[in-house]
Amino acid sequence: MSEYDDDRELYYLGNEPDYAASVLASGFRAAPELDFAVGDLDDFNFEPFVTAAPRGQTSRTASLLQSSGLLQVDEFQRLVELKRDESSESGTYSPVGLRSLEYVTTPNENLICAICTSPFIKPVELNCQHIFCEECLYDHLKSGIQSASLCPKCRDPIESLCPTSRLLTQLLDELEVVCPNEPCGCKTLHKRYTIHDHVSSYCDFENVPCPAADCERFIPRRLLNGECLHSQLECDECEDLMMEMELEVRVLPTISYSISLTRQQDHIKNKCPSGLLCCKHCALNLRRGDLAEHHARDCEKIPISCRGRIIGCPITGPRQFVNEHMKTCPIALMAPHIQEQNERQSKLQAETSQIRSQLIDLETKFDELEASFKQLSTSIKRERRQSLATGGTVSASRVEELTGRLDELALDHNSRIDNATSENARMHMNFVNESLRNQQQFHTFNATLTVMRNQLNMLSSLRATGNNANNTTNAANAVNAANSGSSGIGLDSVRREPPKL
Amino acid sequence: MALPKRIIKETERLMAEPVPGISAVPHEDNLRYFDVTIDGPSQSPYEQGTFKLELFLPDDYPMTPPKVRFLTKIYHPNIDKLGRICLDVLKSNWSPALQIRTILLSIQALLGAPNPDDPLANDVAKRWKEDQNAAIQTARDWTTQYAKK
Repeated sequence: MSEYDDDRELYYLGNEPDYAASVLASGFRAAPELDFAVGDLDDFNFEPFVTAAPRGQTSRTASLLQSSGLLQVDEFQRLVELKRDESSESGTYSPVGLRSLEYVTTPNENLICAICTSPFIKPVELNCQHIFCEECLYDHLKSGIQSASLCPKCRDPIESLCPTSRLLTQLLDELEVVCPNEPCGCKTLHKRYTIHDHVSSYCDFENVPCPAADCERFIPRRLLNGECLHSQLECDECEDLMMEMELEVRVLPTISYSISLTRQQDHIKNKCPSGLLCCKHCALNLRRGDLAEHHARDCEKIPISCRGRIIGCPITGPRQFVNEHMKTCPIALMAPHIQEQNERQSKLQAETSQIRSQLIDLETKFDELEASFKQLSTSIKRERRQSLATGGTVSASRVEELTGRLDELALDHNSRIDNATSENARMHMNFVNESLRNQQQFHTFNATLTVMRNQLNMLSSLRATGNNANNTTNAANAVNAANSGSSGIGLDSVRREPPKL
Repeated sequence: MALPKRIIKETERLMAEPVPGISAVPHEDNLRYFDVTIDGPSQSPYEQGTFKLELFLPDDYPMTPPKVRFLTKIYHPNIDKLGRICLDVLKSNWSPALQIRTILLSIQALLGAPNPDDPLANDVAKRWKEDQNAAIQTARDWTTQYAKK
């Protein structure tokens, strides 16, 4: 209360003494019994609700309006106008329109203003004890219609206004409202008097001015990290330009806002297939998604090795150079055939090892059978001996039966042995044949290789000795001589048709 | 200009809990413009009739009254041939505490209680005073002719 009086005094002395004098002259009188309405509650951060504007001049004016007790209609109008001017001049940023708030539950009908049909905002009481919002009443008084000077409810002439009781203010403050950023995702509920603080200081979904000095756009508070996120980016996920700040929402619509910004930056810098990257070999700018193909097929500068590397060509270098080299390199020309041969050989090796394992399997089975047979025969012998020793308790028929079974088993055993032996022999034969064939092929191939090597040597010597015609003839003769001297395969036949490998 | 919350609330309530005998439907392209029908009150010459009206909420509604006009021809001393209505709450006695539904109820009540002493259609009022029965009969005939359900 004392703080309040100070405020008023300051206002009168410092700001508008003429106005103060006029108010006093026109019969202004304070109503101290109602004076607490705002001043006391200031301590509870109540001010945003009362004024919907930061502390300062505006709040002081509003306090005056609330506290001045009984006011004449024209004073009231002047005060409201004064307040409006001040708030528009100072350009106060007031994010919450209290009128558009959604209430969690339907408020009690007694808290509803008959003019705006919403719970009172800054209620004032008329001399007829009807209560309206300050704004609504001001608009009514200013409407210019014939009944503008009458109470909208009872049509009594409006003579004076006074602040409403603290009880009403508190009831209004307690009303629960939905955060105005609910459509953007804020699902929180608040007491009405805290909603201004929530939105202006805490709500993650409130759009606040971009921190960059030269950017005039807004950004949701949750994305605020000191950087401007309004640069345009292209993302493969959606194929069009978008702002950095939108990326989080558009790529991952269900993303929780608690996921930090780094994730989205990570996407742009390291994962987004549309991000431009520079090829480190040829300095060409490419999309990240195209880089692998570029390296595998197009890049002229990436180091690769000659195709003949598998059989000893040592040439490596940039693709452009190696491609030129491969056009003339005989080893590179041979390489596909040799590779094919190698593949076939490894396939055969695999088959052979498979057959070998089968053979080993069969042998172990055979051993097992032999062992069981031996066991059986010894047990039969023992039984027979026992039966003889016990003096023929075992009947002759039983002996015969057993003998028959023994014969059967022996027969079975013999047939199995035969089978196994023949299988074994067959496998062995297969194996030997296969190995022979491989050996033969290998020899043939070796011979071909020797021939090629000779040719190569010859060619390089040719090049070394120069290009004159005589030399060429000599070299041809030498080649013929070498051919006749070397293995069974002649150079001509090699040229005409590749050796059958 | 955004639609004030009060208008949205009123429209919602008119749809959710309509007044018996009265309907008001906003246009889709202009939510301040309503197509209204009012049933003639029973025991009045307008019984059995359904009257069409148009209602427009001006920009400064609810500080100024809505503009209402009959579209159906009606024989009534307080309604002229253009459909304009002479009703105090639509003019000097408007109060921002009144609503669309209360205004439409007032109009319905006006149909049940014509007031030839405060006329808008002078010829109708004159006849109403001179020969009330004949006037009422004309009103009935007009209702049958123009406002038949």
